[in-house]
Amino acid sequence: MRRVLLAGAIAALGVSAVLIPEPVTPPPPLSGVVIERLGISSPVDATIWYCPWAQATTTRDSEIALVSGAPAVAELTFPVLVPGEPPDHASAVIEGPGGEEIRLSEVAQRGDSPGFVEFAGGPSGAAVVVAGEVLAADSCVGQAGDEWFFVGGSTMTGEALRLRLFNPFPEAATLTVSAFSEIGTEVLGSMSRVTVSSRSWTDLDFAEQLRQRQSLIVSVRLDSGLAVPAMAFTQGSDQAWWSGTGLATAWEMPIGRVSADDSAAIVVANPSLGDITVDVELFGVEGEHRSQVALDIAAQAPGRLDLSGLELDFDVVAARVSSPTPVAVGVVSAGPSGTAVTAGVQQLPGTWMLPGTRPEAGRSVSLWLLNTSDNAVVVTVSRFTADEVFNVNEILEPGTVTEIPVVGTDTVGYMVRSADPFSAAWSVIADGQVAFSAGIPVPQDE
Amino acid sequence: MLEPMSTDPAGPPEKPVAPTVAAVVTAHDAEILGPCLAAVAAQTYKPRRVFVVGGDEAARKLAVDSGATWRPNLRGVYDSIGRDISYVWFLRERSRPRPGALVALIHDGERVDASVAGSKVVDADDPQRLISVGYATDVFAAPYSGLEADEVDQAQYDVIRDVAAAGGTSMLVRRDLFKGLRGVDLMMPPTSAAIDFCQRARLRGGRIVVVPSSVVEYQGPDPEPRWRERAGEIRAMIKAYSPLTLAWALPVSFLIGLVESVLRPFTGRFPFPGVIAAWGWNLLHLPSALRSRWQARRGREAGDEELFRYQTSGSVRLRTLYEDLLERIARRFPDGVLSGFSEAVVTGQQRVRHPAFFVGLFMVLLALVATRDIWTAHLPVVGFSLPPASSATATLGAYAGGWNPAGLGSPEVLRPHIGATALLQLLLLGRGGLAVAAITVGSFLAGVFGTARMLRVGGVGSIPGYFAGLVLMAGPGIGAVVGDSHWAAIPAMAALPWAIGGALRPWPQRRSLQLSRLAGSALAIGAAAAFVPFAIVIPLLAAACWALVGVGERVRGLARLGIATAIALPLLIPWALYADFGSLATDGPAAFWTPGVVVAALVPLATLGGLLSVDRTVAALAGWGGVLAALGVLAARTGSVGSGREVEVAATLLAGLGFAVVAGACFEMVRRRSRPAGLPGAAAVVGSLAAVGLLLSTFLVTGPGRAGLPRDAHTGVFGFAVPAQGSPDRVLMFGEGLPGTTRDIEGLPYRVFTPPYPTSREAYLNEPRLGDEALHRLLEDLIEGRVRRAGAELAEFGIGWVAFTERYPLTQLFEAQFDMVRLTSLAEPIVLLNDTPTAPAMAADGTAWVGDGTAYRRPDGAPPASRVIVASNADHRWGPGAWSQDDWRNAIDGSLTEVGFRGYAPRRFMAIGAGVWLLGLIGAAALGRRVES
Repeated sequence: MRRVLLAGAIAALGVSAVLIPEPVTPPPPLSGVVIERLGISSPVDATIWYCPWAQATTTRDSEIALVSGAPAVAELTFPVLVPGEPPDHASAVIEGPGGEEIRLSEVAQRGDSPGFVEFAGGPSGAAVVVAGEVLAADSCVGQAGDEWFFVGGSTMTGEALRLRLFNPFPEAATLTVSAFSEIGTEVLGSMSRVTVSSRSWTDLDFAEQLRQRQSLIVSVRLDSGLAVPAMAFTQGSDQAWWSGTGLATAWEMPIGRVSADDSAAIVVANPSLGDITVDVELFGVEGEHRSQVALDIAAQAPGRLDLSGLELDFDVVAARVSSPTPVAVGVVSAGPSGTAVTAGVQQLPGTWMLPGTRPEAGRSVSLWLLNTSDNAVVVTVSRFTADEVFNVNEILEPGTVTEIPVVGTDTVGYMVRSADPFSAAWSVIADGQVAFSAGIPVPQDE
Repeated sequence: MLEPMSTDPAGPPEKPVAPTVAAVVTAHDAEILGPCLAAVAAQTYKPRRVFVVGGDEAARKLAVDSGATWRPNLRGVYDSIGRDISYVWFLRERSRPRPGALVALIHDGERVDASVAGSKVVDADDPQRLISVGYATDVFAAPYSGLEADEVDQAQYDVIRDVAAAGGTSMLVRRDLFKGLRGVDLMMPPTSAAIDFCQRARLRGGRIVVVPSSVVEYQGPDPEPRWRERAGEIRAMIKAYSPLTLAWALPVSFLIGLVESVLRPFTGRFPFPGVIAAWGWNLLHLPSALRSRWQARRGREAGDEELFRYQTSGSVRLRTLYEDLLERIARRFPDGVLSGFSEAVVTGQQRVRHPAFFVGLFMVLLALVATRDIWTAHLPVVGFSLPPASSATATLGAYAGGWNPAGLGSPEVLRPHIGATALLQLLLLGRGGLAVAAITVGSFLAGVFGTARMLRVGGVGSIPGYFAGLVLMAGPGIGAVVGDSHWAAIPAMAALPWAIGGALRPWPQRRSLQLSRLAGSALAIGAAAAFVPFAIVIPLLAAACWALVGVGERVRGLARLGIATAIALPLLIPWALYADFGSLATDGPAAFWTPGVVVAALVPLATLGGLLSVDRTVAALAGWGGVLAALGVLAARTGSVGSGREVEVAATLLAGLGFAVVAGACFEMVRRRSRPAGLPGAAAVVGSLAAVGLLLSTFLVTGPGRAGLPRDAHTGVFGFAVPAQGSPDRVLMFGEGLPGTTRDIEGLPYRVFTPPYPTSREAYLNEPRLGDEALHRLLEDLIEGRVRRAGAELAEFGIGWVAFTERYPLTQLFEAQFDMVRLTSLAEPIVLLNDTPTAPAMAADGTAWVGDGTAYRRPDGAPPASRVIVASNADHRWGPGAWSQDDWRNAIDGSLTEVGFRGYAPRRFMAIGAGVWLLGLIGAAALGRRVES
């Protein structure tokens, strides 16, 4: 009997052990956590801006404009191509909503000096204006996808087109470069796959290999590591720098040209495998004018709409492009005013930052705010100086681009906000020189 | 059974004999055969027929010339022997029977009603020298003559005796038995064939005797290869024994072969190939052996017990080996040098000759084999199996109120086993590897022998006890824990049987002995708890279970263990006073041990078999073990109620203890050779087989040579991170399978350690403090994509390297940092170098201070600094000189040459007190033994 009881007790314990529920299995590590490859993007309140075209020589200098909507410290780093040589550093303290401007020549004067700016607060933005023998300006690069498209370049006689690949990271980056033009897909040879050493940069010159292309579309895809590309287009005595974009079905160009004397063109890149027809809406500054043009573009080819050749009853300044498939869009302007290229922007409700908009003697700056909707849009325009912010409200009439000339040489940048969609850009004009820069969109939740 | 001889061996038989005899001579060589046939022809009692079996043409011609009948094999003889023959007389060609040999066999054999009668065999070249007077065998069917080397025949064995086997040299067999058993096994060499025949005859109820009045001279030496005889012995076992006996006899026979293989080379022989060949041969011929077995056991009139009656205990082969070794040792030394040793040998001869000695010796060898990687190289560095730090004094200092260097450091008390290992390391002149090896090997042995000692409470013999000990130290219980890298479980498990046995075994009368036993138990409990904290309750729990299910006086044992546990507690101070037992019970992965097939299938069977034993004590033992095993398994699966790693470890040890007890009970059942009929008998067979299965499962632990620990995972991996001079920067490592305890970020384990790998004192991370929280926040920021200069941030923690055991999504975040560089030459682990200079302790001028134990000193030639930042969790006891808190770190006056943690005096005194208490217990335990001796 005793043994039976004992056997029963053991069996009961054993069965209990079998029946005891298994603990909840913890989920796999990092499950549910979205971790994306950092790329070059960074949070709004701790943004990093990459400025591949910063340069300072005896004949030109770069003004690095920093603006922030909150108190922030900005650290600037300019790597040196010499291996083992420490990078040059600078920093700026932005006490509150406002901005600072740093001249690169005061940090390093050794020609090309691509660099990057790290903000410890935000939202913030940075732009580089190269002034001197040329005038070039664009917002520094703060975010991008896996592939970049550069639209607006050409290699006709007297023109130069140069792609800069800047790798500020400690690992080498490998990129695939491809191009197509009005004559089809281009063969790039050794330029098609490029490795950029850590903390350095390299330039690819297309004018030598791909001559006489009127619309040369260049794309850059990251294979490993990280690098930031930028394009330089030289025509005559002026030069334009701009950053690449991704693809989208709708683009806006708040500024296309600053003078009717300049020839300007909207260039659309169709990387898809099918022919498309895109709709281009054209806008002027003199009240509501809408003119729509259809542009047929072959597969893997650029489409070019010359604004000067259009016979319209208003001066076209801005445009909107709608496409059935994702495309990249840019605008190029050349003429007596100088040479300017910039990429299109995507219409967003919310906030646009426009750093670098400081006028000075012989250099005028304008903001361009495009309202493509059918309703008026009220925007708050905030002018940042080093220690103050000046706000005014403006009404953007429907179907109109509004020019706001910048006054005040203490201006370092603007922030324009609205609850409705609109797009923003700015231009800078000097004697025979011009530069366009798209605005920096700030996500609405910020 | 002894019978007086009826005749003078030299004289003729007193009365005429009627039986008819057929002499059968096995032949190979005609030259040797001739004298044999002549001797047969010269017999005073002539065989009616003479058969010569085998040999070449010359042998055949010789046989025909001698008037004998030649047959190519024994089958022919078998067919030729008819009813006119009364006896068959087997002879080998080297036999030279004296004229009266046959008549003596017939006469004395008939008189004692023998079925098989053998002759006394003397050396043909030296007829005074005895070769055999029948054989005893061991259970492994190895023959044992019982004679000394060159023993002279002085008629000292001249009585008719029952023997296990008659030699094949001269053996008279009744014809009916010969026919019934289908003759001798043709596949076996002569000696084992004779043993096999005699065993089968005995199973049929036949009587086997030796008739010394029948004298046969033998022309040696025997040409049969040794492995053939070994193979024959195995075959004889397979044919004769019951399954129950075979279940343990065959494995042990194999083990004996292995022991011989290890030790025989010292005597000039290398039997290992023979062992393998013998077992291989039997494997090859297993079908025929099984057929023969069926024939042999069909219609048997006796069981194994009848065979055991004429067998010697232990292993003849091991005994011979031992004697050969002794002789060899004695020959190597001049006379007198070993006189003391010889006396000791003579004094302990009986003990040594006991089979338990050899099994014990085998356990020693097995312990060395099972831990060979540890004592020949080092402890595998993996999980919680971490080597001790190089400085024993620093570790002891850290234990005694000093700085705990795990992770970013803390003043938390180290685990007691780290202090205990360091203490042994100190005694071994600082050799940490030796200390670990000594603990591992010593624990293995202590566990095996301690189990045998503990099981004496149930009257379990030494050999079953040793086997049970092997199950304890290498069975599925310890295998599960140690396989999960818990090295500390080995000494903890080894201590358990000593703790339990000391209190449960019969209690001595003398007070000094009682004190000694109590102190011994307390020491064992303290050791178990020091290495696995929750093991402290196991002895008490085991005693309580024994009190419920055991036999004899047992409640007092429970009380004694309660006292011993209380006495052991101070040994764990200061750790026990500061430990958070709640966290300890719940920390780590949820407890949910899933026993393997071995446990799930064999343990219940063994328990049931033992419970149904006719022996009450064995049944009680089996029940006790079953309860412990079931309780252990149950507790080891309580993760759903919050139990963590430490509970699972302790519970699995409890289960392992239960497995060992169950196995011991079943082995004891075999030893007692109780063969009940019906259900108990069947249960005994099943239980014993299950216990053998448990025993065999120990090869999984002993085979790889790491005492069951996993493969080394970290040695040399971060060797590159250790500079030739100065101190290494810390490593922040992510992933599964990290050494020691870990923290986790979104379920991904991580920890900080000092390369090349964490030592044992870094195994257990402290409760999160300011620095740990800061690091965690940094990682959260990183995951949110808010950090692009992780190197600079990590430099504040003294972290110079970030590593991943495999690629995780987090890896790419580190790869995208401005100041982290991937070491592409390393595929795994993935390692990134921090580009920002750092050090665990850095002066204001950027000079890295050098680690020295848990302190830091200024490098030679470096100027004094205003302050030095020690990237460890802030604690005001860092010094000397001015201290301030720098965020979560320590800022210390850098004008001195060394900074360190001043220590916490009360804990130091407690540790010293525990040391004194330890010495006191050791003294008490030793004193009692001294009195006893």
